[in-house]
Amino acid sequence: MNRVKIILRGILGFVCSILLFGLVILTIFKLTIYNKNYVLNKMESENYYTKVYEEINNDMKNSLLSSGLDETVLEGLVTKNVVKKETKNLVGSIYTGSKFKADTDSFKEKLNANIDNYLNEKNIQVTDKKSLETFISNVVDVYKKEISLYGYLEDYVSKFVKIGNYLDMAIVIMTLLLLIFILILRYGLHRRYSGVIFMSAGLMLLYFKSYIYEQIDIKNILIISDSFSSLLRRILLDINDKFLFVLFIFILVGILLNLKNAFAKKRKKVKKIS
Amino acid sequence: MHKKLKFNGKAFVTYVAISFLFVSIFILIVFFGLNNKIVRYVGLINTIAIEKKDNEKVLKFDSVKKRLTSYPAYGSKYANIKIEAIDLTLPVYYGDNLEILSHGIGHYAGSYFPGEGGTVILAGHNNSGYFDKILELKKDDTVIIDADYGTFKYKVDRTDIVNENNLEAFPIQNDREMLILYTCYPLGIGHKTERFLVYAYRAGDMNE
Repeated sequence: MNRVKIILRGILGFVCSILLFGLVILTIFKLTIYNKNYVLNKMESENYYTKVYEEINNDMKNSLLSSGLDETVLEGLVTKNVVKKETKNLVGSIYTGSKFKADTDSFKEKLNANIDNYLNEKNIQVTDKKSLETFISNVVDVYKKEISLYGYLEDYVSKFVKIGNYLDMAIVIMTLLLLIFILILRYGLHRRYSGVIFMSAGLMLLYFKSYIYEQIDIKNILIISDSFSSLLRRILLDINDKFLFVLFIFILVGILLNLKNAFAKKRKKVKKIS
Repeated sequence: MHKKLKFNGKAFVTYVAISFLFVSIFILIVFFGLNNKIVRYVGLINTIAIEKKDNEKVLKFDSVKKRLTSYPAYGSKYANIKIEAIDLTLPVYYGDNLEILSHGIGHYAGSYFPGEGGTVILAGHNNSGYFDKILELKKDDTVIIDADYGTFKYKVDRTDIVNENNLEAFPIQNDREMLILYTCYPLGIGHKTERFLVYAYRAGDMNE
């Protein structure tokens, strides 16, 4: 019976450590990547909207070369407020799983007006209307691609939302299981393993964080655009900091609880003698 | 009842040892059970980790194999193009996206490098200060590519105007060294559907 109890304690203790470890990971993801407000706050702090605005303007200027038009046709087309509004709509659509559609109608209208003004001022007659329309479409395309992150995220939105739905359920189930097993350990198997569980979970987090983060070349990540890459790098580093904070707390709490439990064990022994 | 609180060091050490035992089991499970998956996913993430271009890279040319031993980083300048007939000197960058073309002449990444004995394709905008003047080039005009690893001289053979989608006008071959310069055509307002091409051959290859 004793041997069975020892094995059961060991298994339950290990399972509780894994549950706590998993709970931390899921909770950190829930509070970061799966939290719309967190992502929006990071965009503000990283000056994401300004960077996207600058990228859009730069790309539009590049597409002007060889068109015979100058930069005055781009004036007032895109403002930082418009970029911010569209980006917030994009983020909102990702978290609700809906399709994002950039507002290109007003953009196209302004561009047409600017070009007409430019041609009138310079007294230029355009004989090939089709080439002008193609050019306008190309510029609108540049704007649409930059604002919607080239549509890359669209393929992953439904998976992202699906995982998010399971996340809440998983956190609740894992928390309940953890509490049940700790109670079984404490009152059923008469073992105070809280210190062990916290310390193991903290050490597991340390190993996991080191193993993953040492292998990922975060500082050189470059995908979709410079602005998006910079935001992604910032979020990954922030998650890394959160892991670090939690694992230190867990190891410290584990040590303290183990110390407390070591004292408690001795007090019980003294009680028996009297 | 005499309550004496005394620290049981043995119990504390046992608890710590059990913690490390649990972590060891965890590490074994991860290493033997999940390592391949983790390595695969981390590898996927690292495909989007691009090291910053090394602008100090020294390019070397193997004159026996007629190949560069290392290639320039995408987006980096590796040569200057000089055409005396139209008073043109411009930097040449590896790559031909819009960002690169705003700085100078772009080298199509799917073509050979000067000296490698194949087709070299260079693109430039038709704006003033870019490739606008190549429309004035005539047969036997000299084009010099002054690369970091050597200088290469070409003679203009002919020019042509083709549709932007005519890929046959840009043959990628390595029978003889051919330089193709191209720009949007005609000059004017809007998107151009044609391209003005200049075909030149390595000086000394003209009579082959």
